[in-house]
Amino acid sequence: MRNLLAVEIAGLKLSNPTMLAAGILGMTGASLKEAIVCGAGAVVTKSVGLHLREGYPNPTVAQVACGLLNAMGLPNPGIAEFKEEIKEVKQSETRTPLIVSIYGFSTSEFVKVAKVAAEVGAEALELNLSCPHVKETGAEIGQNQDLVAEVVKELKENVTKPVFVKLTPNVADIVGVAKAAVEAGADALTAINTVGGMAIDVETTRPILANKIGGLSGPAIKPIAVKCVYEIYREVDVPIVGCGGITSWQDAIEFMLAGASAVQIGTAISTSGLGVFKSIIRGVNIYLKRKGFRSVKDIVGLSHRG
Amino acid sequence: MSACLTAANHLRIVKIKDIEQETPKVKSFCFNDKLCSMAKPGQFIMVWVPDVDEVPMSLSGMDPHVCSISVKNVGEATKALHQRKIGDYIGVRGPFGNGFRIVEGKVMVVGGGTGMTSLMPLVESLFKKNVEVTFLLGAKTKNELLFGDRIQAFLSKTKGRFEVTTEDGSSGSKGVVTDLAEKYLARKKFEYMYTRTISSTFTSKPRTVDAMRHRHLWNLCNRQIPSMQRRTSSYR
Repeated sequence: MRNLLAVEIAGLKLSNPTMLAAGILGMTGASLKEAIVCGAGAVVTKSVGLHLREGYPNPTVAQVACGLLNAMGLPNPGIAEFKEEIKEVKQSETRTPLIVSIYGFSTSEFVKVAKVAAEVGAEALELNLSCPHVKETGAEIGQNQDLVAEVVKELKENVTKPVFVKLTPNVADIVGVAKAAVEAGADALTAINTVGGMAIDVETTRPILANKIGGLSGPAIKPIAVKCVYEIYREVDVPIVGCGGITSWQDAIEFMLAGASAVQIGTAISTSGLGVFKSIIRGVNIYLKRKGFRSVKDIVGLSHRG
Repeated sequence: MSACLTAANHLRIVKIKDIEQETPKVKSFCFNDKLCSMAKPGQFIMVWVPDVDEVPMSLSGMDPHVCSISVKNVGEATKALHQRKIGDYIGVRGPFGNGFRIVEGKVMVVGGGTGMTSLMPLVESLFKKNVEVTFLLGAKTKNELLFGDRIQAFLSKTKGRFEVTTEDGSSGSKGVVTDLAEKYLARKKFEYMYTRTISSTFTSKPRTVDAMRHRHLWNLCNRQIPSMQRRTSSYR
């Protein structure tokens, strides 16, 4: 039977439009493989940089109404160590694309990390230009159109793999940043990373996250993310990967109607487990059949038409 | 589905109701929390010490009316916790983890150092079910033996065996508790063994009970946990 759910994004062939979002379960080869077994059409690793980073002290995650606040501080072992995890996935898994999320404190750092990741089998790179709580990287690059363009251009000149740019919503004009990334050569966009946020405990009067300020994910930010995808879709021609609070098949459909070609799932895994992939895939499939669509591609951006 | 996330993961702020000095370096902190009261023996919680850190701690007590953690002063977060007084607030999340399986039959429980904290609720459940328990307790020195008197009190009411070992020989036999466990295993058959040993000093010899040499144990719950001073994981 024909697979209604197959999609192609920047040359990557996905058996279905769900992806594991960066930051959750993307730290080891084993957990990435588990996400694949549970149905993810593609997986994105946790962001990795050139050198080891310990990250912030705990609490790094706090649960708030309708979402999670986190300020991890980009903990990772550095690409030299992490490449073994990438290899582990690629040894057994050749069909499901592996996307490595990378960050850097300079353009040359991005390029160095990307080259290693590509060498050991990453099918694509996702640039973390949106981490909201580490100085001199992430959103501090992603909030500046010129810096975004510079990083993307440099990567495209040095690496042959497709480049995804993960955008921050913590800007006045996300469409402007999206256009800058695409003009510089980005092959796809991921929208959005977490929305800046914080929580303070009233009894102890202290901020809960050790870093005080963090990023909000989960159902709380879904309407913000849908709007970002909707607006970006009108202005750019590259595929958009929707991300932000997707928990059910209805959420996934909503993002695709807004213009997303695929969706990334993160926070929902912490509440519903990895079964969330299968339940979303099944729901989307039934929806497509019920509505008489021949392919999931037919609903991408459908809310803009008619 | 999206209205609220998981209840256990939600941070609850609790008041320290009581503090007990268990040994010169270990204090128990008592508090009330509904979810922690429903925890299974062996489960752990995340304890938030505001402005300092959030650390995993085994529950050492989980009565319907009061829960407790027992903490050795070894690092930044535990030092800060030791400075808290009755009436101060801490945060708790959890319980997390799978907990122990409560079994019947001949059981040996091996506790070393602060490894005892997670075994205390287990021992209470085992005694309540009238399981015949051989209990081996070890510590570096006499005044660091954790919960020895509580176990003694239980044993006066039920059948069971209790033996103590200290590294300096100040109480019970001289040596480490895992060696004592090996001796028992050589002499006697057990159907189940629980071990939790935490050593704050690293020794060249691994202090675990060799599972492969005791195949007649149909299940072995064996874990040596290194010093709490060492961070359990650098990546979170």
